[in-house]
Amino acid sequence: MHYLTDPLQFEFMRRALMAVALTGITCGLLGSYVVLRGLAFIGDALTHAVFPGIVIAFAIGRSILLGALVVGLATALGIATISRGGRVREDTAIGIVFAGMFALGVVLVSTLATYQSDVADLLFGQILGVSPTDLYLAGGAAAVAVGATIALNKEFALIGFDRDMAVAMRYPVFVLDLALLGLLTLAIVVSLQAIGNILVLAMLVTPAATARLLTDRLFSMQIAAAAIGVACGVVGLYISFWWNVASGGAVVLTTTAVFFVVLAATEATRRRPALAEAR
Amino acid sequence: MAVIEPPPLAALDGVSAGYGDHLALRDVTVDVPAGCIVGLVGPNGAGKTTLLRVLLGVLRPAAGTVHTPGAVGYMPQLGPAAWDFPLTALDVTLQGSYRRVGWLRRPGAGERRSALHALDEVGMGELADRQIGRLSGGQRQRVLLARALLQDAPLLLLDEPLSGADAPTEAAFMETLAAVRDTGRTAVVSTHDLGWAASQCDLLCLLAGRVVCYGPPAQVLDAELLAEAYGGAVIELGGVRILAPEGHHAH
Repeated sequence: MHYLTDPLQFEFMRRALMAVALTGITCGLLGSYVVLRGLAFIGDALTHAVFPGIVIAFAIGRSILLGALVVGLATALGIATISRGGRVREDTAIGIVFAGMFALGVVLVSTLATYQSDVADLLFGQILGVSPTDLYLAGGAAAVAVGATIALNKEFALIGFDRDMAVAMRYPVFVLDLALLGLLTLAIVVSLQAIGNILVLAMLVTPAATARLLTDRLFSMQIAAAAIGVACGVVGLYISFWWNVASGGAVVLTTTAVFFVVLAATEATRRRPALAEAR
Repeated sequence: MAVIEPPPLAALDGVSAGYGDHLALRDVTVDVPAGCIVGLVGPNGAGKTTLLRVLLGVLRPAAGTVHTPGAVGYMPQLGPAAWDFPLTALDVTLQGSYRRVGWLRRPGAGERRSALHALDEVGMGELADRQIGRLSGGQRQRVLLARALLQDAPLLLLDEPLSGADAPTEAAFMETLAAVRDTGRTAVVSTHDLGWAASQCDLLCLLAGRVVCYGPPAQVLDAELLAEAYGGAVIELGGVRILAPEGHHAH
């Protein structure tokens, strides 16, 4: 079984596996809300919006994860505040903010002419260069995101299912929405090394969408999404190692393949009504 | 019928409320006694939902004072939009206990028992494990009623709970509302169905941007008062459609 064990001799590979596992767990848990609440567009916006944070942190030699986190949280606050005002349609506000932020990132990159290849790493992920510091930071962010999501799960589920009722029960719905966006930003930051800026959205959406096909229970869905994310992350990483292709792309293509297999398999079961009745 | 003198369970005194510059309700003064069913009736835009939201405490009145008991149970008019959410009927019912359970904690075995009991009360006990979206419209309405019951409040606010309800759902509502009244709690129910209101409610509050009349059904369902509230609109009374004569409130 040296195909499985050989890569583990390398320190960078062990760190990479840790990084994709953290990504899978965090994105699976939070991605369930992205899928259930239809937040894919906001998720996309947040991933793009962290880009200038990455570039700035890179330029001044600070941790890119920290840069992404700060700018991401600021954007989450901005989106939540603008869409609360009601003068601009929410999706319009999101489109304006995230395109503007990404453009800022592009302009900043063009001032760093000598670092173009490094910037490509930021966009597409460079998992084989995960430093111990990055791993600690990603681990901390993942711990906060997972802990807070589990702690607030029943409130998040209530708001997602029946917002009017949550308001009627006098929950601070705006603050909880903001918290969810903040936790999404954490998930995105955790995923930057393993997956890269552009493909993070796939890790938030695809494993959770796959899990939704498999179960009708929220917590089972979150667990399944995390498990699928971790499994696809590990498989994708091995593919990336042995075939020498970009890790982020390999991981995301693995999740995409699993999604279509599960979609086809569950579709086949659905068409046998006798089986469905027996459940 | 409940004839109970003070103290009222809830009271509005000179309340005006609305959204933005528009006041949907003006100068509402109403006492809601304990142990009764109060029907809110009136044409579209009369302020029924506004009145419920004031009682619920999510809409601050522009003027006047509101007194309500600490806990209020609620069943929203439209209900959730996300029926495909992966929650069972039991999960949804348990949401009624969340405020009591508090932050950072999950409902325990006791809450689950209460939730199953509430589902039994509305005739949904056997479908407790069914995903909410796989239930019929009437069954979903009953689950939302069970959730409101689990809020364990002396005052229940139900916004159009019977719109489009099937016969078993309507029967379950009647039975549940009777049990609510018999245990000294009060349900305030908004409805378009004057026939239902006439036969099931102890008190009716006829609204048209203000309180046209508040009292027992026999007093409120008066042709002149109805004409005043509804203008020339078609209304339904005891299953019979009548055309209210042209009044000065037509819009």
